[in-house]
Amino acid sequence: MNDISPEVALHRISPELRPLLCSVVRNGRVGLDSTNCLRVTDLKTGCISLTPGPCCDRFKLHIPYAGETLKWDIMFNAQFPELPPDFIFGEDAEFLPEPSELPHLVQWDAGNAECLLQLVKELIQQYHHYQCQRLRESSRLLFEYDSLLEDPNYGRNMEIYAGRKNSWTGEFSARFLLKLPVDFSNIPVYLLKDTALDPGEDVALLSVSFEDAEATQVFPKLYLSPSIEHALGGSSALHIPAFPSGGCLIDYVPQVCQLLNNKVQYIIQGYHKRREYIAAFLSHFGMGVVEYDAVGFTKLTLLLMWKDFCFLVHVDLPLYFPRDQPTLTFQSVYHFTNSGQLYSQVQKSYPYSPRWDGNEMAKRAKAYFKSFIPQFQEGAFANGKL
Amino acid sequence: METPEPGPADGEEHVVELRPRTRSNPEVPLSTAAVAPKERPKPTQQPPTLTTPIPPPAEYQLRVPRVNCPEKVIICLDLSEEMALSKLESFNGSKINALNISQKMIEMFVRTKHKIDKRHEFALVVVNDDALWLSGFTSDPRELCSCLYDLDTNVCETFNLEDLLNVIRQKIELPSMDNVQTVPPPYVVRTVLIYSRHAGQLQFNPSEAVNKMLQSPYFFFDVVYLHNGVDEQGDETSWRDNYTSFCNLDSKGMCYRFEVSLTGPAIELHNCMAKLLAHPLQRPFQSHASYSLLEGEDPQDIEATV
Repeated sequence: MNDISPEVALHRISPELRPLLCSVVRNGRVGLDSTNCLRVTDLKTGCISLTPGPCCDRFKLHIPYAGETLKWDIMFNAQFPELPPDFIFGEDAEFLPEPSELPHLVQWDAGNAECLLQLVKELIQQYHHYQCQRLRESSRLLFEYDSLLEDPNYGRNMEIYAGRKNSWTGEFSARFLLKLPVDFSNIPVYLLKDTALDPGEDVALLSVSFEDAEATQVFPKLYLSPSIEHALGGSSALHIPAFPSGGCLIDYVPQVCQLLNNKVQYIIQGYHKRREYIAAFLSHFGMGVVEYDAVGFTKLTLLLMWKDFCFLVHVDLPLYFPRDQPTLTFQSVYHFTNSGQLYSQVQKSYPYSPRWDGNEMAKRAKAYFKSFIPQFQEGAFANGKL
Repeated sequence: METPEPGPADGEEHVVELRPRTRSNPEVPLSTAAVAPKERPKPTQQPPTLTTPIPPPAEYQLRVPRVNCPEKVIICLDLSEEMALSKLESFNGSKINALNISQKMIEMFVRTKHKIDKRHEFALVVVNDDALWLSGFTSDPRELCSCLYDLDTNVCETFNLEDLLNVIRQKIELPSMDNVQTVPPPYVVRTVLIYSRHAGQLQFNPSEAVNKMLQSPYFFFDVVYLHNGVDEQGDETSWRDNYTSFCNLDSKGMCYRFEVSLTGPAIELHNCMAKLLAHPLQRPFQSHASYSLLEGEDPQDIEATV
């Protein structure tokens, strides 16, 4: 793995070319998968060895595309830095983009630091067209492509890789990478973990691999930005239905979108429901509040008294509340267990209905406390250590 | 013209404005509409002063957002001889001393706080003639509890409150006060003093640095005063005067103070500590606190019984 860090690459590149490379390695995100940056390897020079450094003027650029990584050689000439670079497109010897379709090549401006990055983006667009053309080898897959193209939700956010033929069977295969139009903007902020590297916008990407031209072996996979995955409950959020045999993308993709949308809605609603629950409990018990989670509303502790006997109730609200019932933990203020822990008792199945509103839940909880506390107190004095 | 109160007034609830939602800002908690008391607490009456009341800082009416940020709790245990007298009545009727009860309730306190939020931190200070920082800050309750037992009491002369507060001041750093009303602090500092000595009156002339600490909206000074229940006898200072002195330290009206008789039931002491579990930014004003679970009153009724 001879990855070169951006700093090293910028240090070694010929100074006139540095601004162009800078845009690419620092800000360069192309394509649908914005979490993956462009990478540089194999930084070399075409100058004679007596040339004082830094004078590198050629490198390999690794570009994430449709779940693959394209490796393109980009070659400048340090002696003539104002000239546009040459490209070798990896093994895609048949990819011959039409220069007139590349505005930033036609009007190459070495003084514009963004020029190389823009050119790369235009080349990728052309590459995408080229791949789509190759789909013609399979009428089935071409149909999949065309039907998606017509749908404005998906048509403009696709990357197609109609790549290698399987060298054993000669089978044609393709991969579709789609950005799903799911709105994550209303997910409560506290659920979105800050990752150390800013991953860019939150995305959901669906990758569908067709291992044969007749679409009998189809493997879908869902990718979510790390913070979205975390917000939706971790890796279980990536479970999607299998691709139905004989099915097609134009039916399947909306299904996956709907599933994701539902999950997002559930999370958002769950947050608001928990907030409502805690507000209701504070209204009913607020003068005895010990602490509550004021950010995610996932927990609440109350101090209550019954006939001079103080006790605590810890309430834990699960992620899929109200479908899932909150856990109540009763704790004595006076007693420990034999092993020195706090004396407490967990109740997970008390009278509860997800259809009650927060107010009703608080009232019913109060009634439950009153019925349960006498036996809890008895148990504490019988089994606990003072 | 009266200075407008930013706190709840006239039945109108103070709604904390939501901050714009950017990636790094937590949402400001739900408004305290449901539970904010409808009247401000009555100011402590001015008694014949034995200590000068701490003047309220200019911003004393500001309300810090009710966020359950981590607490740094400094438990200060008085080790004067009164703590060793077995006069408290335990559950089974036998007599027990305050030190014993204090140890158990402190253990309950730190373990419970830790269970509620593992970010809370604790420290233990013991007070003889001087204050001694024994342990902390640590978020592991066991670490603190290991210093808790094995303590001795002795006869103490006066209580040097200034020394105690200085020891504390040197060990803490209070968060800076930018946007006190809208931005939750990264943590708050709370001192819980369990005090029992009877000797003499409380002398306290705080330095400016100590005053500043006491005035910070992120510093809280809770007190449990264990007294002998005896009122003024001749020249001796009554415990009430000392208790009032402690109350005067609370310039913001945000602290909790309890007085418990050393000859009464031990359960009272336990219950005080339980009430002290409450997070200082989320707990009601002490005068409004109510915990009882008696037969079905309306929430409105509870609020009214102030």
